[in-house]
This record gives sequence, structure tokens and C-alpha cells, in this order.
Amino acid sequence: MKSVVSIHQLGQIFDFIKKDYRVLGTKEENGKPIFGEISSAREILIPTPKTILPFKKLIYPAILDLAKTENGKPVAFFGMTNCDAEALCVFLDKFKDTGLVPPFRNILVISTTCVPDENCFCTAFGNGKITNFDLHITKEKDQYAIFSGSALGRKILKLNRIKVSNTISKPTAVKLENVRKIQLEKLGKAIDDKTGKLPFWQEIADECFGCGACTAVCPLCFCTGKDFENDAEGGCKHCLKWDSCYAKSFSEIQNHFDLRPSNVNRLYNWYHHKFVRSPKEDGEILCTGCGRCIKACPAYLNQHRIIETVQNYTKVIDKSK
Amino acid sequence: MPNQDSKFKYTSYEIIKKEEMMPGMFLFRLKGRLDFKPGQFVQAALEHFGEGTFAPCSDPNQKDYFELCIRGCGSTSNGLITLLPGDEMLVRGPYGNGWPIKKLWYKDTLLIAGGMGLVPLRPLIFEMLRSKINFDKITLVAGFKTDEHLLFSHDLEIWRKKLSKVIPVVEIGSKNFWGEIGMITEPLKNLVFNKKKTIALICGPEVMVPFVNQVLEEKGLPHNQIYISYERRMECGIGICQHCNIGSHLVCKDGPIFRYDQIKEEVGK
Repeated sequence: MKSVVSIHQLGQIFDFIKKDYRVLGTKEENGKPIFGEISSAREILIPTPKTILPFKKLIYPAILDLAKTENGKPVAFFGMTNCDAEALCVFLDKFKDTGLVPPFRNILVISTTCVPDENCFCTAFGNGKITNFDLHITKEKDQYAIFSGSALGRKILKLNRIKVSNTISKPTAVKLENVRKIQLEKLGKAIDDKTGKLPFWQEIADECFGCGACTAVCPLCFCTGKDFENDAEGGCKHCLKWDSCYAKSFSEIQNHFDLRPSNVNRLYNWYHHKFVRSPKEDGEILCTGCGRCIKACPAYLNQHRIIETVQNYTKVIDKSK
Repeated sequence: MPNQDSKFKYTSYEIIKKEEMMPGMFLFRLKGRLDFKPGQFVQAALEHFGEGTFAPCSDPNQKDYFELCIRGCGSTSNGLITLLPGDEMLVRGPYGNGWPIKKLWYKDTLLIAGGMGLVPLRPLIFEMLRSKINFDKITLVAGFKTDEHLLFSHDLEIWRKKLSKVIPVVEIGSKNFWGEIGMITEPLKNLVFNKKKTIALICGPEVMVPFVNQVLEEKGLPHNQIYISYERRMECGIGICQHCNIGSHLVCKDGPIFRYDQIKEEVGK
């Protein structure tokens, strides 16, 4: 269902939501788009560019004090691209029942039209349709079109006396040029079967610095370490900390026995987790094609091209048979 | 400390006994009930330092206490072993699946332990001895570095009388040693067992496992009759930290005990 509203009405909806929710969204700070607390509708960037860091730091901080994991005010994401909204759903699902992130029922998703860049490849995994939202907003000249995607979204519009047209209308799907579809099943099999692919992974690992920048910017990387944070006064906090599976000691057990001693082992594990292990666990791949990893990689590795290539790598082997 | 609802909540247990098993390795007896299955693990923490993964090694039916065998290895475990009776130890868990006890009913069981690998097998032996009626032959082959490194030597002496066969193997041993001298694979090669009826349970260092598997394979034991307990780095124990995976499996949630035929393709991924 679509409604067209003015900036004033959008502000009214924002204020309405702000009463009950902690509002987070994409805003500009020092000339760069970032995810942060939003205090006014004017701050929200619509259409929404991609932030360097995704939403995850806002609901799952880099250092999470386990003494303070109580679920406070519900969270509204106001101003979020479709790929991030999808990642948010997967992220919350992965952490359900842990008590570490707000539960799904306490999250309101108001997605917005995105500004795709040269690294985006979300359409490789789907048809680009925008589906994961309570409300979705696009800018139409001086006005805003609002689509409701859930009962909660419709209720918010109704309570704000926004007229909803009777015709069924959906947000325009994301279209990206030069992005070919990736068959997930085939990709999973291609990664899972290591036979004959060692040179392939080694070649990438030789380029990769193993810095873990891709894991820090990925909305669906959530490797975690557990630690005690000590302070000078003798206090100590029991914390969870972001970790990276590219870190050297990540798979180390006692006596410094490292189960993934070289970068190629760790790099392979990253792709394996995203496209093999996670789909086996609950059917979800851990990638939405946001392309943040490509932008962040100091070695100029292109993760999109890597999965495209590994997928075709089997083709080469098949032909030779 | 974590809030009361947290999955990471510790229970504080008083240490009521501490016994030095060998230099740097201690058996702690902790007061209180821990409802665990043999083969499961707990996370024991030392504030300011960190947390380590340990398998409870006492009789799981013991209601008044449980025991943890801790070897000083890194900073946390070296800190933990300085604790004394009267001190409190923070423990959370148990986690993991435990040994498949029902699969062992009316079967011959071959227990293979390498060094501290005997620790998670000890509660299983207690459990099996308790209801011996359900189990047929029980053979224990336990490898150690030297005869001075023999773990639970007192128990081994008792088990020697109660189990079908107990073979301690040491790499270096004195003349008076009652077990065998050599690598753990040696007595396994000479062991006669019914390959149709035997289930092998293995726990030991990662490097030992392929060698043991190779011997069992040569002796014709099918892969689906071999269970292995894997040691992995555990940070959370509840399947979120992603440190402990073997291929597509998480050791904390799906393991730590895996049937060999189900995991063999995944090891090394």
C-alpha cells in the first residue's frame, strides 16, 4: 500500500515513532554518511547512501558489557537501505534467544531507497525486490512515498491519519547493471568442495593481508571473543568483543596449536561460513551484496568477483571431465 | 558480572579439595551439584584473566560435588590452578552433547584416551560401571608421555579389576611399569575386538586422532562406529562466537562429540 506525504507529515511520523522508540538511522556527519542516533526527521538521508560501518555496532557494540545487556527501549531503524534491512533480519535471527541484542518484536524497520555504488551486488542473490520493512520510504520530487509492509507499519500510518491508496503498489525493485545472478546452491557446493581448488584459494590468500577489515564492515560478520576488561582501580567487566576470523589466533587451542595456521585456511573459512555453513544451519547466506567488504579491502580484493569466479571454477572442472 | 538473565551467567562454586595430579596439573573438587552428561564441557573463569573450557571428570551421579582437572597451560589456566580450597571458582555450563551412552548399550566399547583425553572419558566409565548390566566388554587404552604422567593412576588400578581390559601406554616408562611402552597405536594394533559389535570412543590431542583412526580402519572398524571428542577454542559455548567450527559443524552446539563418518569430510575446512 502506498501513501504520498509531505516533509511535514514525515516529520510528524518521525516524532510519533520517537516517542516509543530509540531512533537510529543514516545521517551525515563530517560529510560522510554514518549510522547513528537520529533526533530529527531532517537528519535522515533519503535516498540513503551506504555507510562505511553497518548497523551492527548500534545493536551489538564492539565491546559489549554483559552486565548491561538488558533490553531497553525498542529500536526503530529510520533510514536504512534494503540490503541492510535484510541483513538486520538475518542478524537478529542469528542472535535470537541470546538476550544480547534487542528481540525482533522490539525492532521497527523503516527502510529507504538506496543509492547504489559501483560495489553493490545485492541483485546477484535475488530479484532486487524490497521486502524486509515495516515502512519503506522513497523520495518523489518534493514529497515522499511511503509503503507499508506490515500490520505495524499500517497501524503507524493510520494513527498518523495518513491516507492510504487502495491500489496495491510496491516499492520499485533495485536494479543494478552488470550484476549477474549467482545460484546459491551451486556456489555453496563450489565452495564446500575444496578438491582441486587450493591454487584458487591460495592465489587470493597471497593477495589478502588478513587484516580483517572486511569482517569489521560486514553487517553479517559476528565472530565474537569473550574477555574480561580490567581497569586501573582493580575493577573488571565481563565483556563480549568483536573478533575476526582472519585473526591469527582465532582457531588456536592449547599449547598454541593453531587449527588454521595460514591465511588461506582462515580466508577459506570466511567464505565457507557465509555461503556453506550458515545456509546449512538455517538457510540464510551471510551476505546481502552490500559491497562494503570490497570498499574496505586494502588489498583491492573484490569479494563479489571471487564468489562469481569460484562458482565458475566448477564449470572448468566439469568441462575437463 | 553478567546480569541474571544472561546466557553467560556464572555459578560460583566453593573449592573443597585440590589434589596435584602431576606438576602443573590439579584436580579440583567443587561443592555443589552440576547436572552434566559424560563428555559435556563447562567454561570455568578467572576474573581479570579469562575463561577456559574443561570437561567435568567426576561421577555424574555425584550430587554433592563435581570435579575439574585443570592443567596450567596459558594465563587463565595458570591462574586457575593457584586457587585453593575455600576459594570460589566461577563455572558456567554444561554445554555440548556428551557421549552417546545409549548407543553403547549391549555393545563392546573401546575407549581410547590420549593424555588429558582421559578426563572426559572418566565420568563415562563411572556411569558404565554403575549400570554394567547394559554394557558388554569395556576396554580402555590410555596413552601418556611417561609413567609419571599417568592420569588418575588410582582409578586405573581400580578399573583394571572392573573393566574387561585396561591398557595404559607410555612413551617412556620404567621397568616396573604395569602397562605397555610405546605409542598408543601399538596396543591398538594388537588388540582383538569384534568389529561388528565394537564402538570406539576417542578423546585426545588432534594429532593423535588420525593415527588411531588409521589403525581402527585397518582393523575393519566401520567409521560409523567411531566417536571422537574434539577440542576447539570455545569463547561462548552457545553457538554465536564462531570460533569452534569444524567445517559446517559447531563443536559447542553439535559436538564436542561427533561420529567419525559424519565429520571426516569436514575436518580441515
